[in-house]
Amino acid sequence: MNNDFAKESRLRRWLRSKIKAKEKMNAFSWVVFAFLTLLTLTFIIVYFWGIMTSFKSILEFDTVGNIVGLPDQWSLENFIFVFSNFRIKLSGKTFYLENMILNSVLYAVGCAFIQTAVQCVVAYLAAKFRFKFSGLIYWVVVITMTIPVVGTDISTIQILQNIGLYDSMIGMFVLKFNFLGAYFLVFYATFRSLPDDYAGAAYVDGAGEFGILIHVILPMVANMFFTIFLLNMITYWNDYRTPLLYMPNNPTLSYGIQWLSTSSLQEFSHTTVRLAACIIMVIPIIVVFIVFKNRIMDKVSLGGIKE
Amino acid sequence: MMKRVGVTLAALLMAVSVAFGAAACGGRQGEYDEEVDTDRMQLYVSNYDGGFGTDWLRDIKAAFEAEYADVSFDGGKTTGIQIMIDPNKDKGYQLNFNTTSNEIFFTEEVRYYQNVMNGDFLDITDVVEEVCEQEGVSLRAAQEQGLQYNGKYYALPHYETFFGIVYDKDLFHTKRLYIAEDGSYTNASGNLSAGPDGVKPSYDDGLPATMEEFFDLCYYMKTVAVVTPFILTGEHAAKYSANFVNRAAAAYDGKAVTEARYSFAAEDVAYITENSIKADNSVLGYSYQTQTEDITNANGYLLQRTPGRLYGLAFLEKLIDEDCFEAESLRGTTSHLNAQENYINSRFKNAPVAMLMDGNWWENEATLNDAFTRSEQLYLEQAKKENRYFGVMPIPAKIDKNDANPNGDSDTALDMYTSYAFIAANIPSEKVNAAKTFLKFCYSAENLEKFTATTGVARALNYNVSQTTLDNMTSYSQDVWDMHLSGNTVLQVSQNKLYYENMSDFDSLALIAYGNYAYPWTALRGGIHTAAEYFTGTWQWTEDGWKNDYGAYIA
Amino acid sequence: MVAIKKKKTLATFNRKRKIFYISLIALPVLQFCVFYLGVHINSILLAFKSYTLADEANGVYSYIFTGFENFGEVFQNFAKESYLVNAIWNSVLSFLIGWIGFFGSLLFSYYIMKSWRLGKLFQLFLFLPSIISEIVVVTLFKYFMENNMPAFIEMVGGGVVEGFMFSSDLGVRLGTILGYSVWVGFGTNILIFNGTMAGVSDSVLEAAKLDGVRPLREFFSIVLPMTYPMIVTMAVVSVANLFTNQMYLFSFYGASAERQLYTIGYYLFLNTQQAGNSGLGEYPYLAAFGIVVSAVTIPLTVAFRKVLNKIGKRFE
Repeated sequence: MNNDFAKESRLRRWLRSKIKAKEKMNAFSWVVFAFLTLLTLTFIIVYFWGIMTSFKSILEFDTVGNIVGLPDQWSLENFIFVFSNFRIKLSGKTFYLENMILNSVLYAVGCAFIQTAVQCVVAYLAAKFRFKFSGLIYWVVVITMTIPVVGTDISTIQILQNIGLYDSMIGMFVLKFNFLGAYFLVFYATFRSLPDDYAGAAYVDGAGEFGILIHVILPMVANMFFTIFLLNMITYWNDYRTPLLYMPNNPTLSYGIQWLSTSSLQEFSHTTVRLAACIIMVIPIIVVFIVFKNRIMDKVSLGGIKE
Repeated sequence: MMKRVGVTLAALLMAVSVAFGAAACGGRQGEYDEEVDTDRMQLYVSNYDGGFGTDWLRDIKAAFEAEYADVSFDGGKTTGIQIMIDPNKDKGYQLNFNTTSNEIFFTEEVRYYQNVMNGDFLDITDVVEEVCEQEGVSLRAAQEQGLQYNGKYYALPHYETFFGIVYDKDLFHTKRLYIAEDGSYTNASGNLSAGPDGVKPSYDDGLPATMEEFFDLCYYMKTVAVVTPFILTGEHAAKYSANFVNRAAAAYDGKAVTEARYSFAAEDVAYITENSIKADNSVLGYSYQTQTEDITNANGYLLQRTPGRLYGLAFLEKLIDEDCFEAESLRGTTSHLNAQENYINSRFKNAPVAMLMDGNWWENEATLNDAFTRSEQLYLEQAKKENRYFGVMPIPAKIDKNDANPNGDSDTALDMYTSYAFIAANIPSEKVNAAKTFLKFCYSAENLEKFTATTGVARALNYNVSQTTLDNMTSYSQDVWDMHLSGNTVLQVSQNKLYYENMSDFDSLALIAYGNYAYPWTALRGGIHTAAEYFTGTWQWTEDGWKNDYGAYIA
Repeated sequence: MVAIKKKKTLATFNRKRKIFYISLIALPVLQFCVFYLGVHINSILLAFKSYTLADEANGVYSYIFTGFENFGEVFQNFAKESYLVNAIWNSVLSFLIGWIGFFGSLLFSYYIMKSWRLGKLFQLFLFLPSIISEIVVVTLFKYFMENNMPAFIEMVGGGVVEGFMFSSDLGVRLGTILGYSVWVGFGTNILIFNGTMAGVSDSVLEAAKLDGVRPLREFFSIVLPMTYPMIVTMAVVSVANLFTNQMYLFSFYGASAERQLYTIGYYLFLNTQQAGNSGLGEYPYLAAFGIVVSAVTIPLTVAFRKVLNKIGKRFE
C-alpha cells in the first residue's frame, strides 16, 4: 500500500511538473496558450488521421467509404504492399523500397558528414590560422549568405554533366564538399572563442598540426559537430528537390514518396497505400529524433550551439 | 561523451559503407520476371503495364516458348527462346534506346515518325506483310499508307483506344432511363427510339440521339429517377474531361474532318467564322456562322475552328452548369481507379450513378485493380463482374432534332494513345530473326483474338474474333468490339510531312490549351471563361502565324 | 647561433603550418571556385547563348553567343503569358502571408522561453513539420483536406462539399495552400528564436519583473529588441527567398499545378527539372530568367537589410 501511494505521488508529481507553468500565467499567456492548444490539436488530428488511415484496408476506405472513423480492423496490408511492391522504373532500371532507402542513407549520411566536416575544418583554419586568406574565406561565406542569386541550378547541372558527375551519388558528395552556409559561422565563432592554450601545449609536446586537429581540436567540438551533422542529416533525408534535380535516375526515399504521391501508377493510387508509404518514410527520422531529441531541440541556436 | 559521439558517428559511417555495398550488389531481382537461362536465347520485351496489363503477353510468352523450344536462332549456340518481360510505365516518348536493355516494345504515346526518322526502330516491313497475309488480318486503310516511311514499315499497331461514356445497362433498365419512341422513358423491353444511328434494331436503341435528348435525360435522372448522371475522377478531371471534349468534337465533326487533322486534306470543311458566335438560349447555348473550305497544308489552322470543337466545349460546359457530376468523385484525391470503383458500387449503395467518363480500357483496369473482386466481397452475387452489364454510349452528334449535321449517325472517335509494337534498331543482329518471329507470333490471327478476349479491347488493325469468344466477353467489351468493327475510330497516322515532322504540335491535348489553361476544365468550372471564349482562345494560329510556322510545307 | 637556430625553427614551423593550411583548404577552395564562382560565371555566360545547329552538315548542336536574345524572350514571356505576371503576385502574397508564421514563431518562442504551461509539448509539435519530410506532411494534409474534411462536414450535416486542394474555385485552392504555409510556418523558426531568446540575460528579465513589467510589455520592449539581430537575419533570409519560394506547389501537385497558382520559384524549379535531363536548348533561357530575377531580388534584399538595420539602431 505504501508503494502504491509512493508511485501515485511520483506520477502526480511528474505530471504536475510537466503541466504546471514555471512562471505565473496571465491573460496574455492564456490567450497564447489557447491558440497553441488549438494549433497543436490540429497537428495531432492530422497526424493521427494519417496514421489511422494507413491501417485501413483498401476495401474499408475506398469501397465501404470509412473515411473519418477508426478502422474496423487495423490492417497491415498497405505496409506489406508497399514493402513488397513499391518500385520506380527510371531509365530502364528498377528501384525498390530498399534501393531507395539505401540511396537515402548514402545521400543523407554521406552528404551530412562531408558538409559538416568541411565546414568544421575550414572554419578551424579560418579562425585559428591568421592568414589574409582566412579573412577572405570568412567574408566569402558572409557575402554568399546575404546575396541571393536565383536560378543557378541549370548552370550547376551543366557543369556536372560536363565533368561526368551528373546523376550520381559521387556528384552529390562533390556538391556538398563546400564550406558555405550558416554552420560555418557557428563553427567559426566556436573556434575563435577556443583558447590557444590546448593547442599550444600540444605543440610543446611535439604534436604536428594534423595531430592537434584530430586529437585536441575536434574532440573539443565533438558535441557541436554531431549536433550539426544530425541536423544536416535530417535535412538531407527529407530533401527530395535536390536529388530530383541532380540525381533524377537515382531516387531517394523522399523522391520516391514525392513521385508516388503524384503518380498515376495503378496499384499506388489508393490513399491508404500512399499514406502507408509516407509513414514508412517517417519512421527512421522519428527514431533519430526520439533518441537525440534533447540534443536537437535544446541546444540549437544560430548564434551558437549551446554546449 | 566524445567516445559516445565517436561511436555513433562510426556506426553511421558504417551504415553508409554497408549501403554502398548493398546498393552495388543490387536488391531484388531486376525488372524482369525470371532468371536468365543460359541455354536459351533471351528476348527482352518491354510492355507498358497500364490499363491493359501484362497477362496477355505472359500467355503469349508461354505459348511461344513452348512452340520454339527446340528451335535455334543462332546457329546452335542456344536452343529455344526465353522471353524476358519487363512490365513498366515507360511511354514511347520517354524511351531512351541508348540505355534501355529492352529490345521489343509494346507501348503507347509513341512519336512514331520522329522515332523512325531518328533511326530508333527496326525495319519490319517483312513482318507487317506476313501478318497481313493471314486471312482476315490487314492494316486499316489509313495505316497502309500512313505507317509507311520511305516505303517501309517500322511498327505494328498495338491497342486501339478511345475515350467516351460508359453506361450501366442494368441501371438504365431498372430505372427506366431508355428513351422510348414517343420521347418518354422506358426500360429495355419498351418501344425504344432508334438512337443516334437512326436504325432499329441496333446497339444504340433507346439512347440519346441529340444533345437535347441527352440533357433532358440527365435532368430526368436527377429529378425523377434519383440517379446521378456522371462520375468523373477528380484527380484527373482536367485531362479526362479534355479527352471527352475531343471525343465529342470528333463525333460532331465526323470522320473525314477528324482525319483531316492529320492528313490536312479534306473537302468542304465547315469552320466557324470570326466574331460570329453569339450566346443564346438554344440547346447548345450559342449560335454561329460557318463557311466551308477545302483543307490543305496552307489553311490547316482552320481545323481549330470547326463546329465540333465548340460543340465539345459547350457539352462540357453544360455538364458542369447542370451539375451532372457526382460531387464526391470530383475531389482531387479521387483517382481514376477510385472513380471506377465508386461507379461500380454506386448502384449497391443506393446512390446510383448512371455513367462514367473514361476510356475503353476502364473495365480491364478496374479488374486489374480488384475493384470487381472487392465489390463482390461486399455485395455478393449481384456484384460479380459476369453479372454486370456496362456499355459504350455513343456521343450524340446532333444538337437537336433540327440540326442538319450530316455526321449525326457516325459516332466518330479518336484513337488516343498512338500505341505501337516495334523492335529497337540497335537490337543485336543475331537476335533480329528471333525478334521478328516473336512479333509475328504476337500478331497471329489466334493471338490477336486472344488479346481481345483477355483485355476486352481491339488491336488497331482488322482481324476476326469468333462468336464464341465474343459471347464470353463482357457486355462492355462486346460494345468496344462493335465500335472497332464500325471503323469509326480515327487513327493518328498520316503521310503528310507537315504532320509527321511536327507531331507534338498537333497532339489533340496540346491543341486544347488556351493561355493559362492546359485544359478547359478549370476555366469552365470556375466560370472564368465560357465555352465560346475558350473555343476562340484555342485558335492557336492566325493565317500569318500558320504560314510563319509551317510555310515550308505549303506548296 | 641560438638566435639563428630559433629563426630556422620558427621558419620551419611557419612553413609546416602553411603547408598544412594549404593542403586542407585547397580542395574546398577548388570546389568553391568550380561550384560557386564557376557556376555563377557559367550561368551568366549561358544566358547570352543559344543551343542551335552549329554544324548543319554533321548535324551538330552547340551553344553559340546570341547576345541578349534570351533576356528578350524572358521579357516577352512576361508580357505574353499572364500567368507569369500572376506568379510574381503569388510569390509576393506567399511572402507576405509568411510573416504571420514569422511573428507567430516569435510569440510562441517567447511562450516557451517563459516555461508556461505545456511549453515543451507545444514546442515539440510545432517543430515536428521541420523534422518530418515536407512531402510527408504535405501528403497527409492534402488527403486530410480532400478526403476527411468534406466527409466530416457531410457527416455533421454540412452538406456535400468539394475538396479544398482541387476546388473549382482557384481562390479556395490558393487559400488552402497559404493556410498550409502558415500552419507549418509557425514552427519553422521556433528553434532558432527559442535558442536566441534563451540567451537574453536573466538579470535583465529579473529586473524588469521587479519593476512590474508585464509579459506583453516584456516581449515587445525587452525580448524582441535583444533578439533583434537574429530577427533581422531570419527576415532577410525570407526576403532573399521571395522568388525561390515554391509555396509547396511541387509537393502538392507535382508538375501539374494550375498555372494560375504558379510562383516564380515553382516555375523556375519546374522548368529546370524538366530541362535537366534532356532539354539542353532550354538552359540558356532559364539562366537568363534566373539573372533577371536575381537582378530584382539582390537589391531588394540589400535594401531590406539596410532598412531593418536602421530600425535596429533605434533599439540601441
